[in-house]
Amino acid sequence: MMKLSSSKLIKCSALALLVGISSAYANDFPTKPITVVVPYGAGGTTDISARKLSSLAEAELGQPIVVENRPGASGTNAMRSVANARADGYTLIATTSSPLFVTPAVRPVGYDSVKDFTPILNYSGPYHGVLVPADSPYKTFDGLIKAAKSGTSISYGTAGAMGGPHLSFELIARQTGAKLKHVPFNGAGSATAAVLGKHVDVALVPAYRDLVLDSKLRLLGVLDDSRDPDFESVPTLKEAGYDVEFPSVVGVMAPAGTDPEIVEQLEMTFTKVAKSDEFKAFMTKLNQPVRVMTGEKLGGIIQSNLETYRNVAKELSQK
Amino acid sequence: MLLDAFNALMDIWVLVAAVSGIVTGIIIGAIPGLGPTMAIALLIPVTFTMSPIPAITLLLGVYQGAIFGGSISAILLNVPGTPSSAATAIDGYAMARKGEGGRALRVALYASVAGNIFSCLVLIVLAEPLASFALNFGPAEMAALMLFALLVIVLFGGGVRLDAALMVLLGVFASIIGLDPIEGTPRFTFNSFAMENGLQLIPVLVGLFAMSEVFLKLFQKQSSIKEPVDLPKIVPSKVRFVDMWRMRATLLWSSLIGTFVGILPGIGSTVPAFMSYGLARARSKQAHKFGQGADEGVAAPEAANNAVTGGALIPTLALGIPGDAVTAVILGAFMLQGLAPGPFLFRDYGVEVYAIFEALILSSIPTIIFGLLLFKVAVHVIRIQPRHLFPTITVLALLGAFSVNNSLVDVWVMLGAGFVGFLLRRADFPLPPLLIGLILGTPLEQSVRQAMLTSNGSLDIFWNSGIALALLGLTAISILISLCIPLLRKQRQQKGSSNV
Amino acid sequence: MSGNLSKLWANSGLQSLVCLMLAVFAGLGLWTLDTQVQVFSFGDSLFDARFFPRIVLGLIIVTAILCCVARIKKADDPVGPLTGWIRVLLVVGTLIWALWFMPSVGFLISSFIAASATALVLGERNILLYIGLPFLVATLVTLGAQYGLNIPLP
Repeated sequence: MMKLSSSKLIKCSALALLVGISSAYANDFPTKPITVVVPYGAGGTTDISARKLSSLAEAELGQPIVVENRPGASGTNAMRSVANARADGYTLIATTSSPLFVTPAVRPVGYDSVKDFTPILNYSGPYHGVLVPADSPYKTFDGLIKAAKSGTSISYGTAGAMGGPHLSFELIARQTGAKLKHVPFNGAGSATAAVLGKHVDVALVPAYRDLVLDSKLRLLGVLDDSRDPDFESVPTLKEAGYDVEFPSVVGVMAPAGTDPEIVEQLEMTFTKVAKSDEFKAFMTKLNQPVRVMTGEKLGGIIQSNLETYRNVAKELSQK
Repeated sequence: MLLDAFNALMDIWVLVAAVSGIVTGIIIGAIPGLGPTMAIALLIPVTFTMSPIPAITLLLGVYQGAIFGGSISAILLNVPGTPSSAATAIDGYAMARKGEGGRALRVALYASVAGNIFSCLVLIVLAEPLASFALNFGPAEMAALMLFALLVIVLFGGGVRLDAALMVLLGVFASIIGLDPIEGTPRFTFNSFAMENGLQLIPVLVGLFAMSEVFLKLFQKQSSIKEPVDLPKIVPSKVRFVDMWRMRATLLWSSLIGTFVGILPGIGSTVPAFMSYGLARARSKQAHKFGQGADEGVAAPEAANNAVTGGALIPTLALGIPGDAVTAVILGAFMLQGLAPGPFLFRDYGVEVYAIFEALILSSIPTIIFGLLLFKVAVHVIRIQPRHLFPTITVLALLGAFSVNNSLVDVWVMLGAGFVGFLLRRADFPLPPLLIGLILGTPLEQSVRQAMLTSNGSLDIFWNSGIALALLGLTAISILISLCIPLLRKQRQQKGSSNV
Repeated sequence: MSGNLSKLWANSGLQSLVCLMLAVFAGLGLWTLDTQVQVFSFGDSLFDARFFPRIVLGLIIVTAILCCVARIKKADDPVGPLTGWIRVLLVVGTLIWALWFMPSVGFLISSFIAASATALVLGERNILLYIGLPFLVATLVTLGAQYGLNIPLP
């Protein structure tokens, strides 16, 4: 009796192994816990939102999802490790704009965000704004750039060197000949503090809502490709007449070569939970938008922006 | 308002949350490498379902507990659990070696609580004005402040000043490795992706202080196991209120430094701990006792590094701008509870926020009770044979270094730092200045270059700012004082000898 | 022969040695500065990515030499007995080995080997204490970290 069952067990596990390899049985996915890598430290907004999304998806997939933090080197360490992970759908990454299409455009990072990854979906992305102190003489984005063009040197703070906001403004400076001076800070918080203390004229940062509502800061424009729903009257830079955008994404990606059926299943599940009321309520508390986008669309954004930023970086290094 | 808040505290869950937070914090903080950031991040998912006041009380209890917990291993083993307790180790371990470990722990505990209460009171009374005052600190002011801090550590940290200066420089150089803070280009990474993250503080700390301690013990081992190892005895010790009252000026100054530096972004609790140590030593009439196990040498850094917790919460809560990794995590926790930090926090959620502050102050009582209970067990750690204890420290050092970024590179860094630390300690070089150099190197370079960027390369930015000028003046004065003190002492000694 | 060697060891000063080593390293750093630090300039010339390292490395050389000079009159600490160094290098070697193989054998085994080696070199000869205790500690730490603290150990 015992013998029989154990041999059966071996057969079963051999079968399970076969199933794991052959793609025809992808419908059984998932059969073991899934790991979602977060390229930032535990407790940040990307981490917390990824954890919530995962815990909601757990119920749908019927397998636990483990969130693993791999911070460091502005997210590129985690991207590199997931790019090299097995493409079986059990290792995913919840990642953001900077390691996807900003840093890889600027310096070698050891992965290709288009060729090494299959996008699954986009679910968030904090709006980055152009902010000035409330008593600043600049009332519109146009006015700011006009002043910078006519000789006033305008300094702008960002969360760090070679980030998306930095490169976008560098591009504007080139397009218009405006005198814009970049001052990188250590994180968006310090850049916000610097503009509040008037050590820089402008800050390009996210998470500005309450400071604007309290009229400590004024929002002149949004770097994203769409308006911030909290401030519908403020235009994007493109609408203000400047051919620049920094679309902020927070999306889930799998290593390239993952079975399309598995990708489809994951996209369906994650999209369902990302659109749920519970997730929306949670993200509102975190002061983060929910911006659901298909994997295909996310892939398009990554590809086109990677190209744009490569050109910007190339131009910059030639100077 | 304060009374409403107090009523909101009358909930058994708040007490449970405070106690479990403090205990978890103390234990995690005592393990080298595991610090408050990790402890809080770990507990955030637990607080998802709790109501705001107990949830935040739990997390802030962990924060304070972890900062204090680091001192336990610093005092008893000379292995600081968190960077900020490296200052406590100097005199704390000296006391433990004399058998006064219990006394050192109690002084540290009471000083922590004092620093804590002080900064909480400041937080309650002055949060908003101080937060707006802190905004005056731009790149130029920060650069001046950090220069001042570096000099205080070199001049008043004790030991040979030239050695200390060399160590600070070495630390600053170590901070240069990695990505440039302004241009984002790699520096001294030898084209390795792994090095782009630079030498992280925690692995270096664990290596310099914990791993090097293991190597030192290996080096000094007696040739035979049969010889009795001179283990320190445990002297029963009581710290009376009078003993603490005698140090009131030190405690007040240290708490002030801690709170104030805590308000400024990006400096953390290690620098104020060493600054207050230096100040206490410079002010003391018995400066020679520092480093040999002076009560004040333990009290000053402990009061300061715990006072940082309240200070760091000021810009986090009043403006929604976190100064470092720990407060960034706390900011997230507040948001999850629906208490969005920022200009509207105190207006919209006054009762909750003041209740949380009051809970912070009142949690001193369980901290003291648990601290004292824990000490009864903990002091016996120093009676463990080194050959049983140090293998454990090795395992914990490996874990601590790995846990920062979940990366093996950091463990290699830890090992390297351990060997360098061993060499330097054998050669009698002081390690704390190295640590401070590593912490302040990047922000110092960044602020100097930021200042130069905003001023278009003109040094006027330093002269035009009152704060920066005042700080530079203070720096000059401290150089003068440190040069004059030995001269004065000599004169006094000569007078003394001529009188006899 | 070996007596002379150890005498040489014991007489040369450790402080001066460390100072000289630092000065040499700083010199090497200055030498490789231009290849190791790319400048990605946005227009400002003086305060670029090389500015700060250059000053710091220069200051290290100056201070290290000053330290050496200041020590000429004082007696240095001896480098110490050769056996002490061998003990330390033995454990460092084991740790390097353990770290090297950590990705393949896992945290538990390599940390156990490291701890056990430390205990052995520290003079522990009781098998229970140099095998059992490190194993117990390594197991406790690994399990605690993986399940209690959620750290993905290798």
